[in-house]
Amino acid sequence: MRVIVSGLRKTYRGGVHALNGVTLDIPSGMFGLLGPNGAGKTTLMRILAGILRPSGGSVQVGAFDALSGKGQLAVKRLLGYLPQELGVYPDLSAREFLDYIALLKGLDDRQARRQRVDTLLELVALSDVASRKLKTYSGGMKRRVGIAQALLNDPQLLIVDEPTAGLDPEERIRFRNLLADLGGNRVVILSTHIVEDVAQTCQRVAIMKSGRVLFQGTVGQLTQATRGHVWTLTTPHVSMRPQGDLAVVSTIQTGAGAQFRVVGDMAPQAGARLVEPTLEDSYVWFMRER
Amino acid sequence: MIAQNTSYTINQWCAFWGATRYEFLMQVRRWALWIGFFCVAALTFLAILGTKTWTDDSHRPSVVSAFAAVASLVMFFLPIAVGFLTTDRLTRDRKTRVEETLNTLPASSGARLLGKYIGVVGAALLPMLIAYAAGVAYLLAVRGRDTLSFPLAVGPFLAIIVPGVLFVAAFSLICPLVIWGPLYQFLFLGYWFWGNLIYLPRLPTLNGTLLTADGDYAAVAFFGSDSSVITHATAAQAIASIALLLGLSALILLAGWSYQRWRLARA
Repeated sequence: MRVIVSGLRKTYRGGVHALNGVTLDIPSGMFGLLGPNGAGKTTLMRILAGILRPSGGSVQVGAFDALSGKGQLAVKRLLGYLPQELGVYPDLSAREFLDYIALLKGLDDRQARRQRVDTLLELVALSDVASRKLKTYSGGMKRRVGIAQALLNDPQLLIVDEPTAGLDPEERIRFRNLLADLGGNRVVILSTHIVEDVAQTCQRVAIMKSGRVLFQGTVGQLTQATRGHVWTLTTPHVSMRPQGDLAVVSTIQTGAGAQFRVVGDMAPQAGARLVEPTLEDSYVWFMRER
Repeated sequence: MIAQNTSYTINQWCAFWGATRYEFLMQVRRWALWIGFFCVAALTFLAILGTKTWTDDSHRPSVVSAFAAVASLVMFFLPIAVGFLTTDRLTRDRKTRVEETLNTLPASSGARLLGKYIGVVGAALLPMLIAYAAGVAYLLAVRGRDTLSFPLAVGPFLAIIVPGVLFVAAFSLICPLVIWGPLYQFLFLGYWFWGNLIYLPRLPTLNGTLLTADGDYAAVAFFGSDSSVITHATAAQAIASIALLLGLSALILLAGWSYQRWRLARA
């Protein structure tokens, strides 16, 4: 399956342009959508999930026009969606909540539904606490319930919006691994501003800023595009920051001074050493570029 | 992995059943529901049921008529609890952010809304049924009647209590979509007293009209019960009153459903 987004625009009441002609071609597999807060990622996710209507453009999900009435319903059957902030009914247990959502997804066979819920609870490692009320769950546990509800209908299109925000490192790694396992033959769109999450899980990536797509392609193509623009240099003191038209990606204080990693068009100064770009360098490069 | 259904629509009965089941479950798990109903029921029964009016056979020609009187008693204040406890059921989906997930599901908003409504009504009727059954049992005990007449209590429950609860629940579910919850509760309280309990000849009121939601018409017409406002009612009037209450309930649900669709469409 493929998701094709063409010239998508969204203008909110009050004239805020959240999306300005977004065009994306998303094949099967993990697809990372990177961008700072306010880039338009959540708006795009919500349009793909059928919660928001765009002001213009088109969205094709497999054979369906996702913006037409019939197409939207068909897409909803193929969709699993984990919103940025998953809402739950606090007085239901995880098992009950999943059973409820499964019924709303049309899983009408009781036996199959129960089995599906149990399988997913096991997948997200919540079987032991499945009968506990959701109000007693931590943020990470709720997020895992969220991914379980998104997977109930074995979706062909899985949209996860900022799934690791606010999770502790262990939970983040667990969640990333879970997502990576799901990539297989479905489209998984992972929206995030955490570069590391994309680096660890996605084959393809798009970078968004101010409602526009700045880059789309493979992770390799992204780093390739930044090759020749990333340097490290060492200065005697941390206050002696490299000057010029460049962005500092990281600063490490060493005993002999400070080592800076920078991206820019030209070498910052004599002694700077050209290095291989990482995904984070590329992200900073694209953010700085336009 | 589950098998993919080749149809692009889902069984909306399944969604309706899911919403009914879990809304009922969530509502009956609320302590507020049981405490609220128990307090109101206890106060009502303590204040009125002990008086001779409810135990004196000479006032009522039949046991069914006495049951109808108990049903009318249940409909005195308990619908206020129904109204108050139903107010947050739809708006809660927005507050808890569950709405965002629900709107991405293939279940139609109509099936979800109807399921929620039926679940909420079921949860409201359960404590009312308990209160009513307690009243009927008390009545049978103090009047020394045969317990075999207990099944006769079903009629008054269905004709007097159920239509009023359906009416109150529909408005209390939908109106808070456009009115601030506490304001709605305040207005509803005023409406209940003005339109169903208080009768002053010089004050324009719904009380005594076919729109009375406390089941007076059914009580008088079907079961020969006494009413302080309606002295005589025909079966046709009682049926018209029930039909009006059910029709208005359907209408407000339809309006609420349309409003939700409109909100989603302009998002």
